[in-house]
Amino acid sequence: MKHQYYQQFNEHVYSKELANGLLVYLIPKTDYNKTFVTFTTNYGSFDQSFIPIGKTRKVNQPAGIAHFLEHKLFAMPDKSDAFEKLSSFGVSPNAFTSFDKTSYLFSGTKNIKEALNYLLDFVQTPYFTAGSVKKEQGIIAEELLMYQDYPNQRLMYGIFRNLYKNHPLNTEIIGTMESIHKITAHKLYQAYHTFYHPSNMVLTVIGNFDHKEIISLIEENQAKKGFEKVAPIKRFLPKEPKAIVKPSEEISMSVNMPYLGVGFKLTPAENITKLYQQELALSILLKMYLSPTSDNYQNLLKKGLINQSFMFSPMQSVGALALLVASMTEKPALLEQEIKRILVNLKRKTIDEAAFAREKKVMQGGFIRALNSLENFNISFMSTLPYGITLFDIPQLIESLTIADLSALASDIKAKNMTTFLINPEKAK
Amino acid sequence: MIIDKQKKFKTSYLGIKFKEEIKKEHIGFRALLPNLLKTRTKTYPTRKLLQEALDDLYGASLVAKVTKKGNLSILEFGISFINPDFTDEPLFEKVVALLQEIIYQSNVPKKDFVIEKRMLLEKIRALKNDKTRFALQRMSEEMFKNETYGLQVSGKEEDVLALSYQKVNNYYQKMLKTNSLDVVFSGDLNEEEMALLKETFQEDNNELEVIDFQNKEVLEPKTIVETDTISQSKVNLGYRLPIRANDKLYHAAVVFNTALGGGIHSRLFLNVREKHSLCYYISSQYDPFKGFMFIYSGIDKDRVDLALKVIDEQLLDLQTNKLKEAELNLSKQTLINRFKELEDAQNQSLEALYTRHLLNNKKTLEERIAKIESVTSAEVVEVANLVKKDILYILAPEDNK
Repeated sequence: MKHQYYQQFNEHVYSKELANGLLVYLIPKTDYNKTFVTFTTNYGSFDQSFIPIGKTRKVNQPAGIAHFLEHKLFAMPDKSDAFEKLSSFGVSPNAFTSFDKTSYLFSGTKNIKEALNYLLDFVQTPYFTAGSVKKEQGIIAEELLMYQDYPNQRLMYGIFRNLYKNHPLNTEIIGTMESIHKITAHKLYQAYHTFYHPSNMVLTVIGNFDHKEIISLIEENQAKKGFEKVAPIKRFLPKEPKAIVKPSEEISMSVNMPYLGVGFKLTPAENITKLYQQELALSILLKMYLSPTSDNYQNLLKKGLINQSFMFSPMQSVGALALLVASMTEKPALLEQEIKRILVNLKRKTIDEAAFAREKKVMQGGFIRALNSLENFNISFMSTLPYGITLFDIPQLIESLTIADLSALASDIKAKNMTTFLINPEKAK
Repeated sequence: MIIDKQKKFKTSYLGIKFKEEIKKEHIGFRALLPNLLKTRTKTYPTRKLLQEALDDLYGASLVAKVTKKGNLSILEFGISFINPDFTDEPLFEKVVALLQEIIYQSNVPKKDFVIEKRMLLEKIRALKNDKTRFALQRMSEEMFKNETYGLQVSGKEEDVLALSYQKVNNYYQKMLKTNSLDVVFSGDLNEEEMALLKETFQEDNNELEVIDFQNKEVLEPKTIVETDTISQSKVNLGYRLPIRANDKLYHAAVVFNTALGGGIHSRLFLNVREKHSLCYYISSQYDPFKGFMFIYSGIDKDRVDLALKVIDEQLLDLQTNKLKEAELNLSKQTLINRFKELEDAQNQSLEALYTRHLLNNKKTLEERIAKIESVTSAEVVEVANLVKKDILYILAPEDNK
């Protein structure tokens, strides 16, 4: 097993790639009570188009299938429920699906080995039937309805839809009412066998455990399942034009104040590590010109255009780079004008060295702070792996950012690539 | 001083808490004050300069808020900062000085009064956008209509509209003199640092009662249905459960709540969600300061009656039959796990320590675990029989949706 000690952060990482291709990372933290485990496949809502394992022809699957599969994977062939079974070890299980990954996880303070063994077993035991698929459609329909009532959710996807014509960012992770009803047991198996192969998965364990005991448990569990390492999966993302889909949209919802979102479509780097760096740089750029330390923020506040709901964020994902700004506001038209003016004119600004250095320091502080929570530590750790880096490379990436990186992004913010999404209060009848 | 001394986290937290019993006439003041005080200080006379000062401390994060704990309204000012192992210079003294300046100003900052008042009003209005939360707040208001417990410390529009700068400043001066002050700290602290804290923030030992002993006899449960332009019904049920934090049946009440709706192994989750697919979320919560419990859920508008029936059945079953041994153990293990996991989260662990301080509960983790272990299924039945439905509150979609 590989052992790496990050002295600056006082953290040890043990790692190994198993014969079947599974990547294992063990991070012991013995002053904590709990252990937090994630078993993750690099398969998320984006992966709708791919060549199934052992086949040669591309398939297209319905939106929301990765999330649906996550829900259904808990059903076991003996009619038992893996969720219940895992909880019966006294640990708290959970799972989530994002754009690019699906993760099965638990945290607990005892029976870690038993629970870990079971986690590996249940995730590697698919069981989908027509009946159970139908029942699940009911639960997911409720989840969809619940999100329909969340203004934040509506705003975010509204902007993505206006910006992206083909990229799957334009569809909710959980899919649509229409798409989830197209899911079948056959399609689930097809996706499962392709993406849940150990070669496409990562197991990360952090917390209070003995790393030697845990690695032998994992190896033993995997050795008896007969997986053989396979080649990387061929996935297809639709080609995305440079132009946006539409410049504005308005809807009505039960909100008390207009809620405005502004989005810009930017040019993502081809190289995945570079893309990650772009996100860091964009985050600093936005903070310098929109956070409470900026004159822009103070002006927006004085003009009465923003409040505590004001937020801004970079958004980065394979094949997509965007920035979002949103706020509830009584004066959406004015706020839109102001945000547009600020952001489109950034390319003409000279970036202040002192402010840039301060934002880097804040970002380094934020990195340290995030290590406090084992959940955060684990999820950030495994989420950075697909970018060809490890979590502890991030401080170095932050340090290496230059003003030129920020300027390059600033000059990519163009009025023609801007969209707005406005939620107006609906008068209750 | 309430100190959680350890080195396991990479950050420390220093908090100063001002507490008093909740009073309706003070709610607006206490909602606005933390927001105002964190806009500027004598050394950092603008919002921008103050934020830069925090950023220079490796992005130290400033907390200024009001919360409700049982009978009490607690104003808290705190700073979370990176430990010296990970910074070029130690931050402790600077943090103490900054916090002292934020809390003790000669007057409340005036220039930002109008802005902060507007922002607070907009925040209160925006709360209605989160329908789950809004429906819970409405249930609480209706359930505790003539009781102190129904008051929201975050403020209502009318509380804030009535505020003037002069009134807020007067209240601020009075608050500093009359509120009881507690210092809380999580991290590693040496003798000198302790002395600096004692000297800077004068604690008093004015212990206030955190438990609300006001009871209400429920004759007939009430039903309130309101509508909104939403797509899913928010169904909340409020129950009186007259067992409080220091009562004999307290631990049994905690186990009961966990078995009923405190997690994915619970009766409500398994029956309402898994068995009948009626909802995506359903959960129950027990409040040991006031002695009540509530169930909240989001349910398809056409299936609310069935959900209510299943909920009633489960509750009735817990009142008549003992929990199965496995179920009882699972609930206990879930709780014990939560107790232990809580210690791994800096803020929550410190807050729990503070709550125990207010309740005068000196039990160690092991003692608290033993209390949970000792709960019997007969006691859980006893608790279940003290549960009395008070209110059914439904926020339903309008008909034409």
